[in-house]
Amino acid sequence: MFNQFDYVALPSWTLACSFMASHPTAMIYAGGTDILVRCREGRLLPSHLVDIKGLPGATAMAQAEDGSIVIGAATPLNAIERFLKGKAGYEALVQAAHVVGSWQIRNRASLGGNICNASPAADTAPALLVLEATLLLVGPSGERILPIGEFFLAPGKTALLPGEILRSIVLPAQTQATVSIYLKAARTKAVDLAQVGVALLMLPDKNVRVALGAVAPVPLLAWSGRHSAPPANWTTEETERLVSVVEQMAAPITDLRATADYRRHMVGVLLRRAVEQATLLHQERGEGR
Amino acid sequence: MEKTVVGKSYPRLDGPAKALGAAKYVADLKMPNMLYVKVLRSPHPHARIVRIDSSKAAALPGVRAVLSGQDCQAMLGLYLIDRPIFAIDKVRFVGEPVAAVAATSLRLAAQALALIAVEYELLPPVLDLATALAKDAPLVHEKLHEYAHIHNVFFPVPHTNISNHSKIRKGDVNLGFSQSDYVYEATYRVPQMQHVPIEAHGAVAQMDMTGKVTIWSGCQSPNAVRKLAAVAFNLPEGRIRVITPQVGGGFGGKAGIGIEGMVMALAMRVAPYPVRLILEREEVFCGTAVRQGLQATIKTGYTKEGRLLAQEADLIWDGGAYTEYGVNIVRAAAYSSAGPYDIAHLKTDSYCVYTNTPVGGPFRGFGMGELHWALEQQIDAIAAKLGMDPVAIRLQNAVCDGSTNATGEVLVGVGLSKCIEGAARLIGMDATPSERKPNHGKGLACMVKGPSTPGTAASSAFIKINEDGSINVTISSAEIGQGMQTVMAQIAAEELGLSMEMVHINTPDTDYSPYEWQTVASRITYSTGNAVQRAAREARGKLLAMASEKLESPPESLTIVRGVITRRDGIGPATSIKELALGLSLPTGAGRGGPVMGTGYFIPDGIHGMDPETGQTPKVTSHWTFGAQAAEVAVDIETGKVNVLRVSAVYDTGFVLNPLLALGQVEGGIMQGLSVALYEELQLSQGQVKNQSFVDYKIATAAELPEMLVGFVETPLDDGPYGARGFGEHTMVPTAPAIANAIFNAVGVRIVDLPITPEKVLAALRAKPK
Ligand SMILES: Cc1cc2nc3c(=O)[nH]c(=O)nc-3n(C[C@H](O)[C@H](O)[C@H](O)COP(=O)(O)OP(=O)(O)OC[C@H]3O[C@@H](n4cnc5c(N)ncnc54)[C@H](O)[C@@H]3O)c2cc1C
Repeated sequence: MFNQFDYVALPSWTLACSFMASHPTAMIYAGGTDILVRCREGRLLPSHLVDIKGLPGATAMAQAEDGSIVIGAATPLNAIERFLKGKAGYEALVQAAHVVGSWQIRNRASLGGNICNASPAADTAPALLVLEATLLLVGPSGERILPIGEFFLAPGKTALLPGEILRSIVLPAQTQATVSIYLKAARTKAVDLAQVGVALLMLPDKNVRVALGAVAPVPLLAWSGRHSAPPANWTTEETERLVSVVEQMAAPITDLRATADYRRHMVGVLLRRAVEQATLLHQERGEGR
Repeated sequence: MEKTVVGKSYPRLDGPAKALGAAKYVADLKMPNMLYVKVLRSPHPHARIVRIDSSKAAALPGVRAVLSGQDCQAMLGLYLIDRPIFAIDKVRFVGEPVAAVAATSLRLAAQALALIAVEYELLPPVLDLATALAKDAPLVHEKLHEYAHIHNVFFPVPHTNISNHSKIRKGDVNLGFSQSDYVYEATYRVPQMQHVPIEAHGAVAQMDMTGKVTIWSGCQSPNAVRKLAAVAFNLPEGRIRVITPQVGGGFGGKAGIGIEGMVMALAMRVAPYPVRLILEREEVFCGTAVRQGLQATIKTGYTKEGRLLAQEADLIWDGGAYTEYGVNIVRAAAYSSAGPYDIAHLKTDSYCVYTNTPVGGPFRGFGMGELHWALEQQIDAIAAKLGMDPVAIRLQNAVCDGSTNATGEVLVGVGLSKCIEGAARLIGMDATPSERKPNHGKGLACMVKGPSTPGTAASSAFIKINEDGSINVTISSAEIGQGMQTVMAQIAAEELGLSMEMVHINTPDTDYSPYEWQTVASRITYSTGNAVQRAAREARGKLLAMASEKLESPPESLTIVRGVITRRDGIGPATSIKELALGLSLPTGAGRGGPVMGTGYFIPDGIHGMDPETGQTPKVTSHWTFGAQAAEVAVDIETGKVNVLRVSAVYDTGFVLNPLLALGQVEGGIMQGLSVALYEELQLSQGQVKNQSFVDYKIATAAELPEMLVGFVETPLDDGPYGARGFGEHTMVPTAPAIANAIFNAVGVRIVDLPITPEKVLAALRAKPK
C-alpha cells in the first residue's frame, strides 16, 4: 500500500531545485520504476514526488560537434539504446540499457534513475564508469560537474547534495577504434537483477578499463590503465593478468541472488568473455575499414 | 457418427474478454459501503499466543471489526480438520493469520493492524524434516490425535509430527531384491515453491439481514468453499452462496478453502456490510498454500538386463504447518509410487510431516512432479550404470495393458510406450554421438497421473435452450485459464448439433449452477465433460421427440445440423432448435411440452479404497494418463547455466477435444516445468520466506522459451467423453527430470536437488572425477 504523497511538476530546473531544497522529504520522480516499488513496500515515504520528465532537456539526447553526447537524465533506456546503437565505443551502454528489466520497464526506466538509485547492481553504472561519463548536477546554488567515479558513495547513497538533481549525463567522444562490452550474469535471461555485471572498454592506444557491478557496495572501476598490447594482439596470459587484477577488486557478498563464491567466479568468466567479444568486434571493425 | 465440433481447434471463448480487459475478477468488485480487510500475520514460526489486545485497534474510528482466534474458533479442513481460520493458542508459521481488521478504508485497516498488541512466548520451531522426525521433537500439533479426519483413508500418527502415513506393500520386496543383480539407492529433494498465479487471492463476502452469506471468491472450488464454510460456521449450505468470477490462474493454489474463511467470519460480524480482502503478493508467498517439499529416498533392485524388480521408497513430505489438504498428496504419491513402470515388488512409505513452515497444499501435478523428479532420475541413473539406452530401459519397464501398478490394479488402455517413442523421436534421442555438440545433451522422462479424488467426487451440468435456439451451459467448475469453458461448449455444441456461437457458458454461482466437486485433479474435461455430454443428450432427446411429432418421422431418423432438424436422408420438411425451444406449437394454434432443458451428472464408476496396510485395491482412481517428455540442453560449463533448447512432449490424452488448447496446455506445462527445474524455490530462513516477491522468486520468462515439439497419442478411455482423459497437470510433471537427465547426458553430472542452479551444476562439475 502506498503512503500519501503529492505529485509535483514544475516548469524549470531552478524551481525544481528550490522545491527540493525546501522540502527535505520530497523525492525526484523520473520513470518511477524504482521509486514507486519502494513506496509501495513502505521503504520510502516521500511527501512529494517531483516529476522531472517535463523539464527542459530532461528527455533529450544530442551529440555535440566534438563528438561528446549529452543525455537528459530522465531519458528512457529504450530511447538511449536506439540513439547510441551503431555508435562506435558506446556498445557497453547500449548493451547495459538493453538488459535492464523488460521492454515495458525500459520504456519508463531512465538512465538518471538507474544511477541515482545507487544500487550496486545498476546495469548502466559499469558501462558509464568505463566510458568515463560525467554528470551535470543542478542544485539550489547552481550547477556542478562530477565524474561518475565520484558519484556512488554507498548502497543507495550518492554524492547528490540536498536539493540537487542530476540534469544530464555526458559521454565523452569515442573514436571509431574504441570498443566496449557489457556482460551481465543473472538467474533468468530477462527481467532479473545482475548477479555480476562486467563492463570492458578498450581504446586503440592500449588503454583498458574494466568496471564491475554487484560485487561491491558500489559499482566499481576495477581497472584503468595501459596494457602491454593493443586489443587485437592479446595473449591468454595478458587476459589472465587482467582477470587476476580485476578479481582482486571484487568484494562480493552472498545474498538471495548468488553466493559470494559464484560472483567472484563469474567476474573472471565474464571478463574473459568480454575480452573475447571486444577483440572480435575490434577485428570486425578493422576488416570493415 | 462424424464429429463436427469436438476434435477441432477453437480459440478460447474467454479470450476476447480477457484481452480487452472486460473480464471481471474479484478485485474488480466494488460495492457500496464495502469494508477493507487487512490481516495481521505471525512474525514467528512457532510461538504461544499469550495475549492479544485489540482494544486500541477496535477503537479507531472507521474500524468495524477486529477478529482473532479468541473470537473465532472455527476450523477448516478437507481431509483432516487441522486448520483454524485465525491462529488459536499458538502460531505455527510465519505469515499465519493472527487477527484481521475490517475498516472503511485499506489505509485505516493497515493503521489498525499496527495497534493490535500480541504477546508471544516463543516455542522451539520445527524448521526441517530431520527436526520434525527426531525423537522427542517439539510437536507442531499436540492434538493431532483428536483431529477429525477421513478414517481408513488417512493415517495420522498420534503424538508425532506425522499427519499421514500411507503405505504400499506389493509382492515381497526382500524377494525382489534377492532376485536382483544390482541395487541402487539415491535421495532426491524438492523444495517448497509457490504457484504464483498472476491474480493474487481475493474474496469479498457479505451477510445480508436475513443471515444469508454471499462470497465472491477467485477460487477453484466454489462448492468446496461452500461446504467447508458451512461446516466451519455451522450454517446450512443453502444459506451460503459462492460466486466465482473469472480466476486469474490457480495451479492448485486456490483449491479447497483459503482466505474465504477469514472474509466470511468478518462479514458475519459486520453484517450487512460487504468486506473485501485482496492479498498482496507478499502474502501470497507466505500466507497461501505452497507446493510441499519432498525428500525421496528410492532403493531399486534390477537385473543386469535392466528389468526393475523391486523398489523401496521413503517419501518424506514437508507438509508445512497445516496439512488438511496435503495429506492427500502424500496418499496419491504412495499409490503412484511405481511411477509408469511395472515393478513386481514394492514397498512405499509416504509420510506427511508437519513443520513450522508455510502451509503445503495441492500444486499442479498433486505430488507427481515431486515424485517423478526422483523416479525418473533413478531409472536414468540405472540405465547409465548398465550402459543402457535411457529410452530402451523405459520401454522395457513401461506399464502396458495387463501390467499392475503400485496398488495391484490391472491396467488397460495404456499408450505409454507410444508416448516414449514419440517424445524420443521428436527430439531425436537416437541421434548418433557424432552429431553431438560439446556439453549438449538430451534426456527423457515419463509420467503417470490419475485424478486423486474421493470416489464420490461428482460433477453435474444443466443446459437450457434459449428462445433464439442458443443454449446456456451451466456448470460450477471454474475457468482458471485452462480453457475449460471452451471445451465444455464444444461438447454441448457437438451433441446438440449447434455451432459454437450458439453456446453460452457461465461462471459458477452455487445458487444457480449445479454441483461440482472441485476444479482440480485434471478432472473437468473428463468428469464435467461427461456431465455436459449427458445433459446435452437429454436435451437433444427432448428436442428430437418434439421434432419427431412435428416432422412425422421417428426420432432415430432425425439429425440436427447447425440447429436445423431434418431427416438424415434430407427428405421432407425441417424444423429447428429455435422453433422447438419453448415447446411444440401445433397447427391448431395450441402448444405442448415446454421450454427444453437437459441435465446430466457423473461420478466415476467403481473407485475403491486402499487396504490400510498394503495399499492394494482394484481401482484407486478413475483413470490414468501417461506421457513422456524429452529435453535438449546446452550446459555452459564455465557459468554452470543450463540452456534448455528444445523440449518434446507426447501425451496419451485419449482424444484431443481441441488441438489448439491441448497444445497450449502442453506448452504452458513445459514452461512451468522448466521454471521449476531451473529457478523455483521458497528460500526460508527461520521459517520466514526470504524471497517473497518476483525480484528474488524467479520464474521462467518468455526469454527462456525453448522450441517445443508436441504430439498426442489417442488411446480412448472407456468412460471419458469421446474417450478423452485428463492431462492438464501432467504437462509439467516430467519436464524437470527430463532436463536433469539431459544435463547428465551433456556433462555427466546429476543434480538431485531442485532447483538446478548454476552453483549446483558448477559444484557437481568440480566434484566430478576427471
Ligand atoms: C520489473 C523491474 C525490473 C528491473 N530490472 C532492472 C535491471 O535489470 N537492472 C537494473 O539496473 N535495474 C532494474 N530495475 C530498476 C529500475 O527499473 C532502474 O533502476 C531504472 O533505471 C530506474 O529509473 P527510473 O527512471 O524508473 O527511476 P525512478 O524510480 O524514477 O527513480 C529512482 C531513484 O532515483 C532518484 N532519481 C531519479 N532521477 C533522478 C535525477 N535526475 N536526479 C536525482 N535523483 C533522481 C529517484 O528519486 C529515486 O530515488 C528494474 C525495475 C523493475 C520494476
